[in-house]
Amino acid sequence: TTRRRLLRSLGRDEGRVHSRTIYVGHKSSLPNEAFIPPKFCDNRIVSSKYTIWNFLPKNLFEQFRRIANFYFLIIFLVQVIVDTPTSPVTSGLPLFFVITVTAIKQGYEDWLRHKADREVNEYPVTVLENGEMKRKQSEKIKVGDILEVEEDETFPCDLILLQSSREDGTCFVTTASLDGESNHKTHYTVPDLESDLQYLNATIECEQPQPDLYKFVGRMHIYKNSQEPDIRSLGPENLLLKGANLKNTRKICGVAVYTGMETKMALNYQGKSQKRSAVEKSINAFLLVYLSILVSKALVCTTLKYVWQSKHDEPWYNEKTQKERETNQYLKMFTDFLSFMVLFNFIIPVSMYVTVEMQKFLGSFFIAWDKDFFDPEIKEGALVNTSDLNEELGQVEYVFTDKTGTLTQNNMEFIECCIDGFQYKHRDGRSELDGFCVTDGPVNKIQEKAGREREELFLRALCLCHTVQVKESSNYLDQIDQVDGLGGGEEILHTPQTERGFIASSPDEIALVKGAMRYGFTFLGLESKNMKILNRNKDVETYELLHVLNFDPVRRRMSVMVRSSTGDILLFCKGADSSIFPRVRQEEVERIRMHVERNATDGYRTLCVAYKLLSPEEYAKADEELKEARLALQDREEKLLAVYNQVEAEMTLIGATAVEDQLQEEAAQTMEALQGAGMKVWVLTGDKMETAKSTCYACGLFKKNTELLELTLRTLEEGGGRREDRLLELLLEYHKKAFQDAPPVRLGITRSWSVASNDYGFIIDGASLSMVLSSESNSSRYKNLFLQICLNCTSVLCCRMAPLQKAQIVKLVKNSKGSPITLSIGDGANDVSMILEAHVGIGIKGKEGRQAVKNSDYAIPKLKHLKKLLLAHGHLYYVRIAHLVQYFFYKNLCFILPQFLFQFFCGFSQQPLYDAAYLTMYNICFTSMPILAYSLLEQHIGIEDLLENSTLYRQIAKNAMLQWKLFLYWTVLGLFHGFVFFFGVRFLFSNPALQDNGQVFGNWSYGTIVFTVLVFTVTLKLALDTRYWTWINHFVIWGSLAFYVFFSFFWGGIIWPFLKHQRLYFVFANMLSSVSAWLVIILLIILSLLPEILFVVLFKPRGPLARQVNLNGTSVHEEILNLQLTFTKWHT
Amino acid sequence: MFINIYIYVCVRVCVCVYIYIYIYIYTHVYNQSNRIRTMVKNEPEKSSDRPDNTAFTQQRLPAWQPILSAGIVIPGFVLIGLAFIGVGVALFITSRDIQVLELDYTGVESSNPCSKCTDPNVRKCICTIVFSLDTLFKGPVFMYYGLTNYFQNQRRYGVSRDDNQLYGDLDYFKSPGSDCAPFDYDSNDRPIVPCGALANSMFNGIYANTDCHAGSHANDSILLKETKPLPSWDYLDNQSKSHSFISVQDLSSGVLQLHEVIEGNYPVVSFNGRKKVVLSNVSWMGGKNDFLGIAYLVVGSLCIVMSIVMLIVYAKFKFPEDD
Repeated sequence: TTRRRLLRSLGRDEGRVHSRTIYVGHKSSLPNEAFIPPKFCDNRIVSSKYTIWNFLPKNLFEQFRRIANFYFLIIFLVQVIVDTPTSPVTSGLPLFFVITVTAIKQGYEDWLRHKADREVNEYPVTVLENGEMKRKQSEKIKVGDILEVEEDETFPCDLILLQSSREDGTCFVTTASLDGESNHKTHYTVPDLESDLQYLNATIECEQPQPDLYKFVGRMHIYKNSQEPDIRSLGPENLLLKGANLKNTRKICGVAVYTGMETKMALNYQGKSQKRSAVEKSINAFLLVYLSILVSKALVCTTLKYVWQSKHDEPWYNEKTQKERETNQYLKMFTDFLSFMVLFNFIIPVSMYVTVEMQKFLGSFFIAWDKDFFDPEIKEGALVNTSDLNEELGQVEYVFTDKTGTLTQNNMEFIECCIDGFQYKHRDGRSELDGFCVTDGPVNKIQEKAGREREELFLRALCLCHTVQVKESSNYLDQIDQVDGLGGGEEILHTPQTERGFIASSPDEIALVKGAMRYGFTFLGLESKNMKILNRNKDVETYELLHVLNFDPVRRRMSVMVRSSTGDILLFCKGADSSIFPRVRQEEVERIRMHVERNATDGYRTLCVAYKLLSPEEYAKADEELKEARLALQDREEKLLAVYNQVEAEMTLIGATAVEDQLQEEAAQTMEALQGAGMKVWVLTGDKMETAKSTCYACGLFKKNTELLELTLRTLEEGGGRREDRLLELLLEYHKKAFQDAPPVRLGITRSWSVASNDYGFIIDGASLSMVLSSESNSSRYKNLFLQICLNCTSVLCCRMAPLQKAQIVKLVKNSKGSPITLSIGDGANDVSMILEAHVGIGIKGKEGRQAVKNSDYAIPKLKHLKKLLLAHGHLYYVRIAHLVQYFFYKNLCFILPQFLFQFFCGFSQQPLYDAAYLTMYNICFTSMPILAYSLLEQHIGIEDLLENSTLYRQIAKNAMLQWKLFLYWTVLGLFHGFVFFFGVRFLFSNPALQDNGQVFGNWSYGTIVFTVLVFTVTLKLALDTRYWTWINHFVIWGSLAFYVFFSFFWGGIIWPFLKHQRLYFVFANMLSSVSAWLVIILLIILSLLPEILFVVLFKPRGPLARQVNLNGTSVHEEILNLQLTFTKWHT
Repeated sequence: MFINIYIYVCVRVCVCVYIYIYIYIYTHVYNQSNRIRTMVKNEPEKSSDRPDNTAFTQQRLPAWQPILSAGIVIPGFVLIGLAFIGVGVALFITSRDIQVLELDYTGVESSNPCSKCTDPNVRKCICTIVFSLDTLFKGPVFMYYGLTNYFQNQRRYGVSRDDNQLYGDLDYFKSPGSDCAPFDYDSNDRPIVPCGALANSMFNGIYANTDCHAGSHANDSILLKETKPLPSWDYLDNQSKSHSFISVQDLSSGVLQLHEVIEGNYPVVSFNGRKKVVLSNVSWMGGKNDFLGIAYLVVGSLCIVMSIVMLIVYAKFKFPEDD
């Protein structure tokens, strides 16, 4: 990481020089100019963290940054320096061991990384040098080298494609290891280069390395015979990235532009920012409380020690040594303080960190193992990318979901189209040729059709205006394997003639091309800039592809410029209605708008198609401007956008298409369950409002009685006044409705019911949102109003959102009052920003590549799996870990409290109450396994019940089990137990003759009795809390107790030759021979657990929801349902 | 630093646990590093197989799901309550029947026959205490000595000895271990054997029964049996006594008067202590101890009261719903 940071800071310095110049083949551009090769980093990849020299200090430093290790270290140092009651070995040896094992492990892993690095760095590559091919090691590649890469090889660095073995100057690559998308991507050679690269004399000017995989801006100057250099623009389509694989192409030649740690892959390799769960924050807060308890205990003891000493000056039988007398009083006080800290340090449950980590890690397997998450279609189950957030799944309050691919299947089907205002719907029964069938149209033109010419123009537009590629297996017999290996956006289509596969970046385009094919126009493919289509008469039409004006989310449209065989230059444009309508002649709009809007309310995705005939002059101008903009090194995007906007104007609208995107399985049930669980579902989509709204209705997010509050450009423009004024007006109005008219918010169940029954839906679009968020004045007021409205609505729909706006919304809610836990779910690259922003990011293993899955915390195959993930897994994980945390603090409090109390009876001399073996083993052996088993297996409510009854999720909302109130309860319980253990035994020892032979017991017997009561009580307390006793629980709970007894016998039964003090020799056995000891142990255990049982029986069953937990009866389910019904009745 | 092998064994156990833990955690880390390598070498990621369909992986292990309901808890409380009251009564009666006689011979009061022994300059002092027993002490009768305000559970006091000396290692006779300080060398710089505060503050009184003349020296039997004598509780209240077991005397043979010769110059006045002789017989529960019996009675009746309270609460709030 330091290296990367260093690189970054260097990069920032270099940033002042915006571009780098690369001499292709290391040849000077001008013969008379002195050639100074610029310095770039070499092509070595360093993924390893350490070298031999820095391993020890660096590794130690990193290990001691972990809080548990650091704490151990401090305690160890104190024990070494100060005369403490426990030996430094007690904490030193485990620390030493843990550090060593970790260091060896990390060293080994780093060695493996070194090995892997070496393998990559020494991989042989072919470099073109002085006209001949030379084999070289990959790490020796320098910027400017010309490399040759063969099929299926991985590019060793970032290359500019100069030459391809394919005729059309393209090559195919897969970038599975970069962004996870397995489809083939086409890259283009730099046009019009010399065929013999040896004689190529050129320089490349390009931007400094930057991590964005899809951005690259550069310019190539080609020098030929001392003429003015030719300039070619370079874009991402010319750049082959390190890590990508060459496919379907025999070999290519390219020049290295970025090498080693400056390649885009290396720059992109960085860990995700670590998300911390709310539970972890609670743990840290509790830890602070315990730390202050620890410090105050040590302070109290130190103070009292000196007070006590002033009263009892040293008795003759226990005189101070000479050394003690000579020591400075304050130094003595300080070392005493440290000794007390060491004595009480067990109160901070260091083992809790290990247990929590283990619980999270092992627990997360249950998600990956769950066969309910297995999807037979993609043959994959759920994926857990981080186990740190398991319990956060049980705390979700806001769900932000994408629409396309998440709520809907992203399985597009061409439903109908509309040409010139006439509707065409395809019916399966008809033959291909007269597949056109008018089913509906403007009322006065029933049974009429648009002119044949218009129809064909529309279909040609569909066939031409796209970026779909065709894979014809019959034409590429030698490449069948590769075609079969395709995945992602590809679909294989069966036609009578050939097996035809389409590859496209978006499934809409494939649906449209397939739609056109159904009406008789078949797209045959692109061959060296010529698009071929098969028309209805089975004639092949050829169009020369002049320019593709790519789709982007800002314009929301794409265009192509083609030259027909007759020489006409045509521009076809397709895009969202809102982006097309303003750019076409207005008289045509109304006829089609009606269809588009109706299709949109039916839940279809609509696109409008327009065209424009360009005069040769217009084309020449556009061509010039496009080329110029593409060559620009700076602000290329802005310039291109300006040209696009200029070209795509005054077009003629031909028609519109409607594509259906089916709902995901069980989408509605899932949404209902989430809402029942008290979560608010927000849909964030880039789609248009009508489509999104219909999806919301279909999913049940909006119901019939939901009152919709709309804040979109349309409602803003309604009043006719200034948008800003109208915005405020609307915000205030909605705020009044949603916030002030709502019943007063009360705590507990009433609140959740009332929210559920008070239905408001809020709709906002991207433009209005940016107005709310960025209006110059009153922005915070707008924001607050907006937030308050949103928070009081059951569902919120945000449409026309850019990816960044999605993240903005998530951030807004995340940082709102009460900092609610948010969850984002999405499947596409456009959802990555919100997935990363939310507390929990869920990726859907959908069709839009695997970007979302890679960046998510959990990935599931289908939306429906979210229900079980949250309601069952999340709920259980939260309950388990919350209990684990509280229990750990509790058991350490009542462990160390008697030791503290004992100081009052031994002259504050730091005398430990328990034997060192007990002190060390308590957290590790005697009480750790039962709680671990509990925290992995507990199901206080069965999984089926959790799924059936989504309201149960509300019980644990707002971190309910880790609130201070409950923490206080556990702390008081720990204090109570500690006092009972200590004073119970203390009263018993008012007469220490406890055996029937009159023998008296000493203070190790005392400590052992206290410890026995402690171990049994703490374990039985957990047994009382366990609601789900599997054989593992039985084994671990009873096993731990048996182990304690066995160990105590063993430990006291042998004279250990190496022990300095045989403190516990026969103490345990002796203790058990005393009836009184038995009786006091039983008494104290029962006395400690009595209030607990009483609480469970008397207090928990109050309230209908809580009772469910304890009774588990069906009658309660019904009761809740009845309650729900009455509430809905009241409000409707 | 003295390497303590004993701690080593303790640590070995936790070490095993740590190995276990770290193997798990690092298989996790290891997987991540695998991911990195996958990136570098571009190996295709293996698609996960269908999850195992076992009861454990699906969290469907057969389980016993106990519910603490009133139906179980109330009878349970009654049973526990009754049992505790029974035990409590037995303990209480047993404890009540144990006979104890305490004889304070510190000699702070001038009326005490041992007051002459409080002078530290008196090397050998014999005092006689006459006592009488109202009732017969059933045998076996134990005699204990008691010291109050004596902090033998001080940490420094407890470790102030040299086990090597006690094992009989002659090297340590010449140079006692540092733990013994300040009782390692005497004022003439000669080594003390046995060294340490523990050995040098040994109770040195001698009791003798004039009737049967079966005297017994308070020797170090207790010191070797457990590392330390029991804690003194006298810091907070000077009421209670600490006892130590010395020997068994049978007082069942109808002896009503006992003349005790006590050779007492063990200095306790300097730390405001008291020394006592305690005569007591024991039962199955040990010496006289009222606490246990009373505690059992209290907890037992608490259980009964609680079960009644619960019954009332359930009658009011619960039973109508169950119908």
